[in-house]
Amino acid sequence: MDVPSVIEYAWRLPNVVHAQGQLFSCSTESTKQIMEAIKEHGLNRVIVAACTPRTHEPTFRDSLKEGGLNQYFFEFANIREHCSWVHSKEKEEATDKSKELLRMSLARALLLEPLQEFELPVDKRVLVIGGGISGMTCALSIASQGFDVYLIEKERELGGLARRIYYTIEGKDVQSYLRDLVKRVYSEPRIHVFLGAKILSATGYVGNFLTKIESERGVFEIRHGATVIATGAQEFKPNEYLYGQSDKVLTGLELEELIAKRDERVISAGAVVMIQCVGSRTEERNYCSRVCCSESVKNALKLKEINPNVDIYILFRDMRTYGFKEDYYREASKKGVRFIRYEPQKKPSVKLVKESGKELIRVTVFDPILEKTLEIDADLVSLAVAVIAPESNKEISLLYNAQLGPDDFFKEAHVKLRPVDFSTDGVYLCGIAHYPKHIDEAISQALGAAGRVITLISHDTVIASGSVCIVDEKRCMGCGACSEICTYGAIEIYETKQGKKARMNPVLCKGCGLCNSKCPTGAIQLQHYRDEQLFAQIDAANPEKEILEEVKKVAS
Amino acid sequence: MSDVEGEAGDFRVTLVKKPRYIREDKCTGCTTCVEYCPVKIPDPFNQEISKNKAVHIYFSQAIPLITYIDENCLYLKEKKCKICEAVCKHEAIDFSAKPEKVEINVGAIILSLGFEPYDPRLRDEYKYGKFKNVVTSMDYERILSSTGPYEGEIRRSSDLRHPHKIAWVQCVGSRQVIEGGNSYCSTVCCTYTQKQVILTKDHDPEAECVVFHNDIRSYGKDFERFFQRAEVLPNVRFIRSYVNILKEDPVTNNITIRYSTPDGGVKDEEFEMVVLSVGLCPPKGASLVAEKFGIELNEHRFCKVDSFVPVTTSKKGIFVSGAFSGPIDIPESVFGSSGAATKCGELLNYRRGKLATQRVYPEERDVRGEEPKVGIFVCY
Repeated sequence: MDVPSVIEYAWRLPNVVHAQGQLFSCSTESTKQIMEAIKEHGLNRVIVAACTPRTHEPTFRDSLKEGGLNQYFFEFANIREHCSWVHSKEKEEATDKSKELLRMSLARALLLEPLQEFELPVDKRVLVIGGGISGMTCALSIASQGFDVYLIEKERELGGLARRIYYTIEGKDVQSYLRDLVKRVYSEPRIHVFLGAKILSATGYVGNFLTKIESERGVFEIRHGATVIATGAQEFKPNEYLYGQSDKVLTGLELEELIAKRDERVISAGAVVMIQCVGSRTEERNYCSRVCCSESVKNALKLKEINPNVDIYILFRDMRTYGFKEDYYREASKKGVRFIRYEPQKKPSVKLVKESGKELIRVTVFDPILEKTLEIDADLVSLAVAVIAPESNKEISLLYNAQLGPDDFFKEAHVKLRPVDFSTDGVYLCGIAHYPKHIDEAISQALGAAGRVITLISHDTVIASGSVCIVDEKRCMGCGACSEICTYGAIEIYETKQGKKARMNPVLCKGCGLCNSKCPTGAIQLQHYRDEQLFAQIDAANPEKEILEEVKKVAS
Repeated sequence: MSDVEGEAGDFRVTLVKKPRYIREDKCTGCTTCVEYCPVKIPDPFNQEISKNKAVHIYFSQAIPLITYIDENCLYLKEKKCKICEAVCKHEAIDFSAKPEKVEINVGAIILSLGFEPYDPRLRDEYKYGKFKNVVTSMDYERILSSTGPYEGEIRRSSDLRHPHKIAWVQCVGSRQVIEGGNSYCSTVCCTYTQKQVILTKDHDPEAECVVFHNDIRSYGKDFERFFQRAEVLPNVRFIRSYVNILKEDPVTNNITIRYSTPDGGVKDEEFEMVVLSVGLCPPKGASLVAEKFGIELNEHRFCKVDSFVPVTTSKKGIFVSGAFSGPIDIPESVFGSSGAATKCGELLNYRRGKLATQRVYPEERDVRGEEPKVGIFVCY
């Protein structure tokens, strides 16, 4: 869009004493310019017309503080997301809309008030939910840096899904690693393990959570400053390909167990078929489970190692042995494992047959390269089943206000910028609760989450926003609509001589704006988003009226 | 980095800071020198597609946002010119600058060397550098960018026209056990290509985009849906086939690609531009760095890491983050980096906070009673 004309328009707005363009306002140089302009021109309101306040508001607020101005005198006009990006084909209209948004921002800016922030104490203890590899790794790293960790696990044993994994594709022994990890957890005096645990309730906020749990050791109330969600995921149990009907049809992990235990069925198998994408990349679960291609290649290589004469067929849609795992795919191919691609419209089918007194699974698949339908008689069929989010994610999501994505895995605050944070402060994420991944990736993410936790709890206090609700008791009639709708338990109804009144705990208030919109008498105002500020902004959308002049009168 | 001594908890690292021939404390980034500089060089940040001056700001978000003088400067080469020195009002040009040695003492080291994009010139068959309108995905990334060589317009170098039919060739330099190729999968190319297709369609809804691929590896969170988003766009085709970049039309500079499908057999199709989806290679100088720091590399010359001890190199106190540990995407780089930082925290916990200083803001001005004075900053 035409930025110079937006700047020229800015100069025409009332009370504007300085206007300029910047290439990347968020860069260090540009924020320094803002700070200097505040001092030079004696600014007491700053408007940046750029992208989203979600990622960049803190940066600009900081420039105001550096310029000796209360940071709540800052106003953001989102002309990137709301104009140049969404209206990239309509340059003129996008430019006009930018001017309108700027005019609206100015109307609000004139009415902004200085606000003070709170310092909250930070409880140095950490709750880690889930005692798998991710949870244990995260707990160990935090504990080794001098902080107490409560590690809670719903099963009666630590280890999670890794208890069913025996080796990695690189040939590392998972079980001995796991035994060592569990031993390190139990010998770390700062880690307090609760097995058979269930969360009964959770309240609080960043720095000050209170979680009530029931475990083998009884009911406990745990106070903690940070929460890590490492609840893991599950193996999908399919109801196709004769799974559950024939003991010759297994999941990838079940086959892995047979291989690890050198089961007779594996040692004597003449042919094994592996079917990829069972329950993944479907309409119902529109995602790739990431680990299953490597899991099948890993099992195939191991099978060939202990039973070189076995014929192995992997029926796949796309082989996704990404990164260095590609080398193992090639190795399997070299060792005679046959890879047959199938189209999702022509999925393989299986049926139980008897061939010379022997029960076999006959797998039928259409090979698009040979343009032929193939029939393979297999002693074992292994299904590369999806990794799915457990049902209990929904419960935990509500307890800690931690969002879920479309597939019920936990949703990080920002895919790239904050991959282990939640948008709720003080709650962090790692492991396959986030998305299916390999062990090395889960460990790396668990360490990443530990790093984020330490960043919080190594400080004695955390700053809470000044943009919270306040109650005008004179106008409050004590109806309680506000306290009912508040999800943070920030509003208390108490008795006064004038009857029931609402009282706000500013520390708990997140400034979400629910109570003030619900209040029938307008007794509650959300500071920084007060009615008159928002109304002025909305009124200024209308260019016909001399709204700004009116606002100016109110402001002065 | 010229030298490193010591051990975990107490490393002494010697750095050599190359001269930029600009006084950082004087330069305001006004770029008057750039205007007057008579030497044009291929712009290194824009993949050498467009030109820049021998004195220039590296790129529009560079930190600090000031100029530097490239080695192609006439004065540096032949002791001639010095126009920049004459026009600079801030006395910021300093041709007497010498390389500067800096010694730092640190407790732990994180190697974030990144990666080197695959150079398709290593194999003739890609025709990169031979056919004018064959570009790499890195070139194309700059072409798409508003700060790129054509200010965000998709153009091709042969005639600066907007190409309306573009092909992408996947796995360039990846998944191949041949001379000059890498055996591993570079992990990010499938998804970045889909992004480039989506952006191309944003620029030019009529554009015809064809992606020649092997497997589609949409293995990351939400990648499958992203692939579907690209796949359903009109005039976008994903074709599973190896290709032969056959010939360049001597008049139009269009490129013919030969490919084959089970239904259609072998076909030749003409494109106005071809993008090579190049893979990720170990960073340049990885071996030298490994030698200096005493760390091991794996068989692909990326940093060697144990799968149970990621982000950790073979030497105590030295950690690794990002693509130097292997081809990975941004989210994984970010959490891995946070992981490397926490490993440093574990190592140096006994002296946490010892070097920290409190950030002090100036006292808040009381603006009560002041007439509103508004400053507006508009981002380009």
